[in-house]
Amino acid sequence: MSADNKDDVPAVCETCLGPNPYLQMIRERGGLECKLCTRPFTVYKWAPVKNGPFKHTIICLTCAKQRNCCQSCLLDLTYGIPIQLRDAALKMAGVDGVQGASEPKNEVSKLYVANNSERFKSIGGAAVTSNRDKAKEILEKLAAVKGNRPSKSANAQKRDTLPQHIENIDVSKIVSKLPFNGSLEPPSNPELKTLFIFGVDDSLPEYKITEFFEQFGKLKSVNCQHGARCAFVTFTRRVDAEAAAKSISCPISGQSGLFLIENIPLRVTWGKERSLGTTNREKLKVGSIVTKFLKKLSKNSMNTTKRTNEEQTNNNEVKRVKSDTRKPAKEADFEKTFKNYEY
Amino acid sequence: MSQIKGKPARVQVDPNEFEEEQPPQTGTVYNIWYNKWSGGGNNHVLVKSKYKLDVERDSGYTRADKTQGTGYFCLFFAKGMCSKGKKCEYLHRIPRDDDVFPLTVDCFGREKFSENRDDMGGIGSFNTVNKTLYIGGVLTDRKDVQDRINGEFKPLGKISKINVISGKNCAFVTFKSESNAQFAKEAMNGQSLYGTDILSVKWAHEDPNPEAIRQKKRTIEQETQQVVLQLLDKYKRQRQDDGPHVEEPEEPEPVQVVQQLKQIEDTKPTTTSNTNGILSGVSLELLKRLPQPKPTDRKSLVNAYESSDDDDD
Repeated sequence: MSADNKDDVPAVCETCLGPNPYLQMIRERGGLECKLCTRPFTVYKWAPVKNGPFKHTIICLTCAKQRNCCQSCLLDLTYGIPIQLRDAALKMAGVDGVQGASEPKNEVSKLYVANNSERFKSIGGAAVTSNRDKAKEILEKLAAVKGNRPSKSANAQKRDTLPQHIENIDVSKIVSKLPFNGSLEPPSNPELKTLFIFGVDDSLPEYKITEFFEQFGKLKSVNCQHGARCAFVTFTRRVDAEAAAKSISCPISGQSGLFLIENIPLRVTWGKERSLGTTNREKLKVGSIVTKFLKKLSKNSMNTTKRTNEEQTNNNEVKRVKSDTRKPAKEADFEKTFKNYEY
Repeated sequence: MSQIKGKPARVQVDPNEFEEEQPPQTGTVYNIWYNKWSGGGNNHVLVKSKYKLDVERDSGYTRADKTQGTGYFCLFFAKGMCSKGKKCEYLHRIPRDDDVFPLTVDCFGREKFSENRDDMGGIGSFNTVNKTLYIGGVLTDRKDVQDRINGEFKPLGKISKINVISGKNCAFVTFKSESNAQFAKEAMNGQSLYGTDILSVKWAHEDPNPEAIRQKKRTIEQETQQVVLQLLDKYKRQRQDDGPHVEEPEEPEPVQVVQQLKQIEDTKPTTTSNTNGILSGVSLELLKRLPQPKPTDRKSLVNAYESSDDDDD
């Protein structure tokens, strides 16, 4: 049994209590099992809005005190945020000891921590936020930290090289069939309604791609493989596919189109749906080749900006690419993001 | 979605024709409340669901849309077997981005637990935010399996990622929002992609892939930054509102709790049990000894407390 006194009041936040200052609560001793420490505890039940749905406490007072959280919604009592987020924020502010006394993992240690509440007075950042002045101080500190911190963009992260056993996989058969060197010119085959997209980043969710292409017409299917960094978007109507292709600009005519979603540059060509590898390892290897190819492409287009009249031959490990040298000037801001982007 | 708003929810199953069937016997005792066998072996048998949700056809308004109800979704609707139609007290549609639920319940209003179940089924844990589903029993050797999964799951919410693990007969589907994942889990469990297979949909464990871990860390960092910014905003606003000497009335205060309890019970708390109190135990004690007029307004009540707090300090 949890050591709740009969005089104890529940630790519940104001949001859970609702707007009514004359609130009635129903108390039941040992009514439920605490969801954290599994001991029975005194349950309080109330309706935040009159005749509305009831709320009740789900963890015992001891556990709530140790974490400085609401017994009902489990949010931090001072900040009103989830306790995991609070601990992460405190860590950001450089508060020590947040990780020290961490959440107990198994059932026995949970019970032990709850039964020895004098010894484990606070878990995580509870000690900080339970003190109001200190909590404010930390907020100010966090503001300073926030200002100094360079905002880490997803692009700044460098990709690891693949482990050797994946690097050794031969995917030339798969890669040779992928239309990396295709163009955005409408192909002669009228049945082809599929656009091939490559350069898909792990942080780019599939629905963003779907949303982008859905503005041109109904999609039949989207096959997005984050491992292989490729996607196939099939339209139900050819006209829509052509409209989509038309809207995307080509930095180098006769080559793949380039567009941005969430500041992630993606290359587009027409292309029939092909296999992107059957196993995950194959997909990863295809992805690494795509990365290399993208690097070459961006380097290539940068070179073409420098030396507009010189012809560049691009020796690629995938295929030999012949690039057109002319590059429209209006693609300047594309180029900007492109240069900053690290594959 | 706007066109759905205009039509009433379809009755998915005629209640007169509904027959409750016992699942195949896997234990010795049949529990008629939970429709489950217990006792005996632990051999869990997947049963193919007789009903299936058709989002376009079935969604529509219910009583929950008209009144300010609980705002939870209908579990039977998700499973494709709600017999109430527009008379249902729960929502008959797909969770949207603006449907946010408390940390401790899922989108159907069921309470979460502190830990996931050992088999990762069920409602899930409130300690972690899980947006990824494990789909077992997928025929991964079929060519169009990715398309089929996409076709089945896309109507249930915005998908961030689909990862088909060939050779292991399973797939992982990540949704944009947690409530969509919860909805899709119930909607797709026991369904089939090709007619012969049965999917078992469960929560996914955390992705051990180093790239995924790094990305998760990044998103957590971004989220934390956002939350800190919001907190700072709130804090600044409070400071402007209150002036230099007054404590924030906006923030959750245990004083309120004490007050409310007083009205229910006549027991006098001898000591303050709240660790987070802005009032010391002594000051509370003093306050309790004061003759208490019935407060007419909450704001004035809080202010009264605060002024005495200042005196103490």
